[in-house]
Amino acid sequence: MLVHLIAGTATRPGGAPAFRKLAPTMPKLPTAVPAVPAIHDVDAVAAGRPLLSRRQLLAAMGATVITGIGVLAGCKPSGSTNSGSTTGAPPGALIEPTTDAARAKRDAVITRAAENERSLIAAYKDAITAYPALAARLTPLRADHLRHLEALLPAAAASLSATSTPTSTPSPTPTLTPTLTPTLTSSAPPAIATPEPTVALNALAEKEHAAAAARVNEMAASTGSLARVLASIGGCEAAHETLLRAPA
Amino acid sequence: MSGSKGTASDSSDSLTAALVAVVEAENAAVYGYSVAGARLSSSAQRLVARGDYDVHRAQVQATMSWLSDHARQSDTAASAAPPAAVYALPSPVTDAASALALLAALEENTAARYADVVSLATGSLQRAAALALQAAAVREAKWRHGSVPFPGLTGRLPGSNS
Repeated sequence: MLVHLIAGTATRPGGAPAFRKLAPTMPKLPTAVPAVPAIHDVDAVAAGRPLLSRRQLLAAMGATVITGIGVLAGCKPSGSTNSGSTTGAPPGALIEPTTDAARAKRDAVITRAAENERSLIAAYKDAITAYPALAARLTPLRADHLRHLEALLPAAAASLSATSTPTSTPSPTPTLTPTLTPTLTSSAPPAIATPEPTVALNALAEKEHAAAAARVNEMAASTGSLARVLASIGGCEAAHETLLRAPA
Repeated sequence: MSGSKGTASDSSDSLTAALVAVVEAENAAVYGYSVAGARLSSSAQRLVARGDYDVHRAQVQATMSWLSDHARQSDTAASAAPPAAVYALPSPVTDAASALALLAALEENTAARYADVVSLATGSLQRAAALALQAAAVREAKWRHGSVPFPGLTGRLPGSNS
């Protein structure tokens, strides 16, 4: 729905935009945005379908920097123009670093973020295996992280899905189940024992909290579209933490 | 609303424009919350919305100071338009469901404007914008009862239609 709200204003000629656009000019979507398969399900990745390269994806995102500016920006008196609302980052200027050192630094940032996404995906998988009742709640969050990994490192996302299929038999999840039982049985009366799924949810929330903070730090070492994507991923992870801590 | 004395670089002008846009988005959010808040069905939700309304009012002040700081540092004359009396809404707010949809859309819109600042700024301004984006994403997920994979980039990322 928000796709229509934000992007639809620029892409539906003649259609009534969901947000009435009041600034005088709306930049068009770039024609160079490459088509990409919709990848909201894990199957697309698991099938090994070729995905957009990181460079293409980041370029696609960076190229449409300002699509939404002016959306809900305000009901100006007619005749008043907003010269600020159509300017954005020069597409391409921020996409690829020019020196080898900058490129190496950028790759290190991406590798670090992707590694964290991979470990989050594994943590969700372990939690779902240990507590199938949480699957409905956790699967959409895990899917978000797969999207993050794809955005950062498409090859890693594809290989992860490929290797995870054979090993998807319940692997031992030592961190989740055993940690709690001893302390609960020894110290707490059973009547007020915390249900284990809650503990698993809190553990995931902690991981999301740390991940959101890490994305901000990685972003600080980045600029342009990479910084934008890292900040957005951090926003998603902060939201995940809130959702995981909310009562079911 | 924004102009330059010709001394600022192109990227500085872009950042100025992004900062103007973020102030305007926060002003629009203040208006939107005042419209949607009254339509929420539960008193608990109205209480939360009231708190978020105050947050957006504070963010108007915060982002205006970002803009004036940047203008001073880059020797650029720029100011945001004062808040409008009325803002166009994407769809009429007639009931609790449409109120929730508006609140989620408002947060996505402010997140997108913060994301623009993140892509152009450095240092403490970039970090502050990233944290503001996170806060907007948290509020968006709360009103939406679910997450989006790339808050602030929805509609920009190919294939992201959740």
